Amino acid sequence: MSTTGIAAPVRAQNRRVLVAALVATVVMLFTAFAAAYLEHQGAARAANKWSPVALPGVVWINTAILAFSSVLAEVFRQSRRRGLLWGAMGLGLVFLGGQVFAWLELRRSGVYLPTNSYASFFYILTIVHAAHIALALVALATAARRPRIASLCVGFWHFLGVVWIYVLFILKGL
Amino acid sequence: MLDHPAPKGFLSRYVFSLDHKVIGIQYIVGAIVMGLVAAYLALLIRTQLAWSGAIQQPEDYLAIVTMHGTLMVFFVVSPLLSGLGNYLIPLHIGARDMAYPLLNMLSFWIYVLASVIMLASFLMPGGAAAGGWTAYPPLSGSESFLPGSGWGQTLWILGMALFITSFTMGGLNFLTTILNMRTKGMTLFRMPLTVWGFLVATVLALLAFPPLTAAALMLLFDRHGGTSFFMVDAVINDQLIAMGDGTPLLFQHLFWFLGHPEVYVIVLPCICLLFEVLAAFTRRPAFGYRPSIYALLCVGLLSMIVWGHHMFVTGMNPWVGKYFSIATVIITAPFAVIGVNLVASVWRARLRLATPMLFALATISAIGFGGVGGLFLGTMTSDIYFHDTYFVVGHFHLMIGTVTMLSIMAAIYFWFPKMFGKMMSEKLGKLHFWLTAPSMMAVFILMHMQGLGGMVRRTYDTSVYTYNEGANSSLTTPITILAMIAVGAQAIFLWNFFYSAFKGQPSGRNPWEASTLEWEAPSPPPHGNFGDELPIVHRGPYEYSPEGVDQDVLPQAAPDPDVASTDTEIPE
Repeated sequence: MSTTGIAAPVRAQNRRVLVAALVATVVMLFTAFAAAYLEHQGAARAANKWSPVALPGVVWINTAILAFSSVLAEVFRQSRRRGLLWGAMGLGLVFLGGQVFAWLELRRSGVYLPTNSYASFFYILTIVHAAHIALALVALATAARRPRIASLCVGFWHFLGVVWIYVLFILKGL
Repeated sequence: MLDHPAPKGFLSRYVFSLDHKVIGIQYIVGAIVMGLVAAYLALLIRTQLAWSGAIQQPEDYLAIVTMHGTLMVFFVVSPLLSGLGNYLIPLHIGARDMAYPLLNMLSFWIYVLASVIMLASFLMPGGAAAGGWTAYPPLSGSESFLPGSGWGQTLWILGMALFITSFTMGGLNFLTTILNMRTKGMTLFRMPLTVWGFLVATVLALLAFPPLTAAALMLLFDRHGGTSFFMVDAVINDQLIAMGDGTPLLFQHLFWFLGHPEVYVIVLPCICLLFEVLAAFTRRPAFGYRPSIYALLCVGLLSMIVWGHHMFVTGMNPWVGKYFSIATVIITAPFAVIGVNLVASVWRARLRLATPMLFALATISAIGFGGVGGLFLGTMTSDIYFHDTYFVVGHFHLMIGTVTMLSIMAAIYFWFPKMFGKMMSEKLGKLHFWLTAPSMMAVFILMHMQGLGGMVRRTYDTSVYTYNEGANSSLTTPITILAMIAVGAQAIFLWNFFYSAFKGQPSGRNPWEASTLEWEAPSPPPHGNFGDELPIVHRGPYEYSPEGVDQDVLPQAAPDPDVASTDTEIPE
């Protein structure tokens, strides 16, 4: 029996299905949080107890950083210049640092995890998102040496950017 | 065409194996071990109920009920199906292994770790989790409500998180393998129904588990981070315990958004594999192959939007309940299609009553009984009466206990020759069947009777409450004795399984003369499953007693027989 492994096209197709399914699970995860948020917001508003906290300004800078990181990653995907990937990953790390800064900022202003429902949701949503970003950074790091998975990793990176916009939409828009 | 070479040492062959067949059997053996624990817990529950007062403390009883439920759903039935799926999917679709063997191995070992953590929770101060397998807060949220809601509940959440990780990894593998790794000629509509069942179940699991992850995370924050997503202020022994102003109902929504599809995740593959067994032992095609698939897809879709029927009496808006009630009744339509196809598959057939067939037939009748009970629970008006009675306990044990266990038994007896190249003893198999199936069915049908009388579930000592007296309470002891017979009979199965695996009669390649691809491989299949060339599929999975051909069965991989297709063409 030959041990040449699974044929390359099948392998590529496998990876696409795997990542698509992963995306679906992440979508369901954040949808569940959004549903929970809406439920809490409705109940709290009915009781006149809903008190959103002003988001620290650094959150908007973080958003810009993540967007720029996505742009770099996309240019890397098309040009395959590895420096751009390191740039994108560096910005991803800066984003994580910025999120930590945002948490500390909130803490300084006396907003803790249990302060109120809105604060709880702010922390849990940003923490879960940051955990995904951290794992995606590991994936991007492997993409540098394995060009065949680069496109999918970059695609997942864009997806997490969209999830971040969704998180902001939940926290500011709903 | 394999990524990993044939293993050499004992460790890489039997312990940290990458081979889907070994991992499948590992899952089955692991689930059998956990099954013994869960069955022991079931007997503890029943002895307490039948001879109450003598045996356990109330807190222990609640912990035993909670852990019995958790272990059975997530650590016995689900991994049994992971095992069968792992073993069967690549063989069924003509692949050499799963798409991601390493992921496969990791998912099994994470399941082992999760099991160990779950069992260890019995040893924690306060004992194992006791807030029910549903872990509803506020009960599950604080030690001040229940001793088991301390460390036991924390380990429960950790164990569940690991289980979800393992199951999701397995699901990603199943999905990728089924969609991409099929051999030449194996189109989607030539796949055996078992594979279809696993495909739909996998999609459901991948979509339904994340919301439970979210709920578990929020519960963890409530317990250890001081948040109040779900917790509410409570009064215990005249003392106000401040917990915040969360919404416990939210947890129930998130839990049942998983909980209901999870029922289908474990039931659908069990129902689908029956078609395969029926076809082989009636020597006729499974009835309604395509309608069954369409019905299966409808059931899968609908199962995602009916979760509220577990929550009719929670104080949820009655209009929402009305919607869930209607949606639930609608799901009976596609389910009836599958049920009718099952019955039609055996209708006026000449039956070969081997052990797998006996279990398959018993499963059909369990589906019938359980399904009818479901109508009463899905209708809001009758559910208000039945809620929290033994009617519910009887119903779900018929569907996700009896249907799944009998069907998995059918599958194990059916595919055992493929797994080990040996036959299980027919005599012991039939003895096992006649002791197991009737007693299991009787236990849960009698529970329906108690529920009709109003017997309340989750009660440590039913005799304390006078309203239980008229509720067919005289049935409690007979149910316990029947349950003991059902559990005791599994000793015969265990002996038969392990003895036959080593000392059984050689089975040959295809002892049941079945048509699907796994029977093309030697028994047990070698590393890589199919030798040098992968089989090529020429037709659908159930071409038994084909017309115009002098053959009992046309296997999927057999080239077209000589009889020209002109014979089967309709003359103009």
